[in-house]
Amino acid sequence: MGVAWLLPGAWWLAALVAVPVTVHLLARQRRHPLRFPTLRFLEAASAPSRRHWRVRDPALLALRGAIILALAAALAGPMLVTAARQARWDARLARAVVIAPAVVEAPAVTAEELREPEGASRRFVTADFAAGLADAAAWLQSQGVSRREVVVVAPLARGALTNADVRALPAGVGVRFVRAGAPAASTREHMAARLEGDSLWRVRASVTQDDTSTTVREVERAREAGSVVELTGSDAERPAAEAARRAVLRRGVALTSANDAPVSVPWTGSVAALAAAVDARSAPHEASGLGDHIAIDDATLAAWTRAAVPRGQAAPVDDGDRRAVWLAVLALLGLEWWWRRRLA
Amino acid sequence: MTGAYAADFAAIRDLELRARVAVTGARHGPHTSPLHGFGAEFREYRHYRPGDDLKHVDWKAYARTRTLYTRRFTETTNLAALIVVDASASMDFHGKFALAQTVAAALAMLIVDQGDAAGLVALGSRAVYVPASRGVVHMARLLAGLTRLAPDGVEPFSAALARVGPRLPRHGVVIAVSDFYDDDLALPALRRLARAGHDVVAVQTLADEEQRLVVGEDVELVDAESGQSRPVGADAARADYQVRLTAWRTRLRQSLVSDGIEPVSVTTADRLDLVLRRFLLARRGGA
Repeated sequence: MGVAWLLPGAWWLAALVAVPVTVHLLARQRRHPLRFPTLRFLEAASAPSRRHWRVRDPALLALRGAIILALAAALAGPMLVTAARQARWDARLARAVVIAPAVVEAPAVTAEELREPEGASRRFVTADFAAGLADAAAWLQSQGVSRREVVVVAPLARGALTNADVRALPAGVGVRFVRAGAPAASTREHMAARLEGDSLWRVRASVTQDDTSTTVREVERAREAGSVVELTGSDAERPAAEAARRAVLRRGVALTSANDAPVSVPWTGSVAALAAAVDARSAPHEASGLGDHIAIDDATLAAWTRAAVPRGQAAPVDDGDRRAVWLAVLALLGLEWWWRRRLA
Repeated sequence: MTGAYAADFAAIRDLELRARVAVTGARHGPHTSPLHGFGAEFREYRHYRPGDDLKHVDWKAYARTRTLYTRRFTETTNLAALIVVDASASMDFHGKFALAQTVAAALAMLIVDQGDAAGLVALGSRAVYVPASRGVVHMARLLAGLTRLAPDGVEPFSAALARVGPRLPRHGVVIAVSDFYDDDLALPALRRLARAGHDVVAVQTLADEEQRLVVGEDVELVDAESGQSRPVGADAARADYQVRLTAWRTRLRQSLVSDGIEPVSVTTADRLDLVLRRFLLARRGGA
């Protein structure tokens, strides 16, 4: 059986124990005058000069110190952690449900596994799951229950969540995923320069994605007047570099706008390195957007899923234990009053 | 009023207070007088001398022996006792003065109860003098005077003792109840009374806390009479204090005995009835 505290910060008040210590040390020089029948049998040397720093009435000081400590303890809210209480506290669960706006009303949301737990529950409706997970983690951190979990209810398309987003959740917080709904179809423009034969074309295409397919439809095509990719290097390397440049252009180079300046890349002798450098410096963000409609596979979700781990010491619930400490404070105050009267 | 002292008095009332030395008195009583005469108690026969009062001639003895004998008696007298109580400020400590009052009251009641005269002298903030007399009414007066006393006197105890001589012209008993801290003045006064033929008893009353120096640790002790103060660490000073106090009490006792004064010592921790019984029994043995 242990003791837990509702407001552990109140223990700072225990520092006030320095007050009675100081009072007792300072009071040492104010001796209590007492009428005595005669001083003729008392030597002058009996004056207690060597007791300069000795504390007066150590028992009373101890009592006053105990009052301060008991007061701090009462304000800190002690709770006895019995096995039964621990089990009861461990049974409580705080659940944050991060849910996509499109599936709020989906049948899966009302499934048994999302039933309101004995504890606390809150929904975070958001399309930005990374931010939603962060909000959920912050809310769970403020919940004084033993177990905490996040349930993500969404179509769970690839890119909606990353491994980093899940790892950012605090240790011990459980994570579950409930796939619901389908990702919304999206269409975006894609601009690329591509070498076909000896002609360099600027191609604008419309890319439409849904949960099953990707449709690319060319919207516009025009000859590209610029070189798109320029290589720097010595004259001796020029033939090889030109061959590499043409190979990269045949593969296609993503463009961000019609007025892109040519991408200038030093020739290192490797076509693969050139392709990577061109991708990185042209429009990598657009390239990475492709494929968002594809669902995150179940194996990945299973790897991300983890159970809520009870905290070592559950945050206690006020069951009135502090009343006993307040009574102890009152008793100590009464004792201190009686003791002072006795000394007087 | 007498109730406060009744318990101590009840414990000793079966004893008589007998004067150790002969005292003279105006009335017949149980105490022997140095003046042999024709009082109530038969002492001896002697041959008749011319001039003897014929009423003391034992005619029956004459009828048997044809010789005239005169009966002689030991004259008995009443005891007159003055109880002198120290009401100086030094007596105001942890029940010490109350003890002195109790001692005085118990002895006074005993004396009056056996038909003798008791009086009271004390010098508090005002002088209290109750002349030695007998009777229940007088006893009530004496106890009232005793009860009104407070240990607030500024005069030394010797000043009260000095008032006794003129008020007790005949040989009587003087009972001085005090702590005798002004012994340099009180002892000569007691000695004068003893030499004047009085039976002097010195009852020293002390508080137990005073005897053991129970005053709390690290205090500023203020002399009750001189007003001088001194910081005292009681724990450190206690052993030396008790040695000095004991030595002084021993010297005081020796001085009293050598002057023919009977010393009695009692503290607030003692059973007063036992102390008084011991004192009275000792006097009975020496009477």
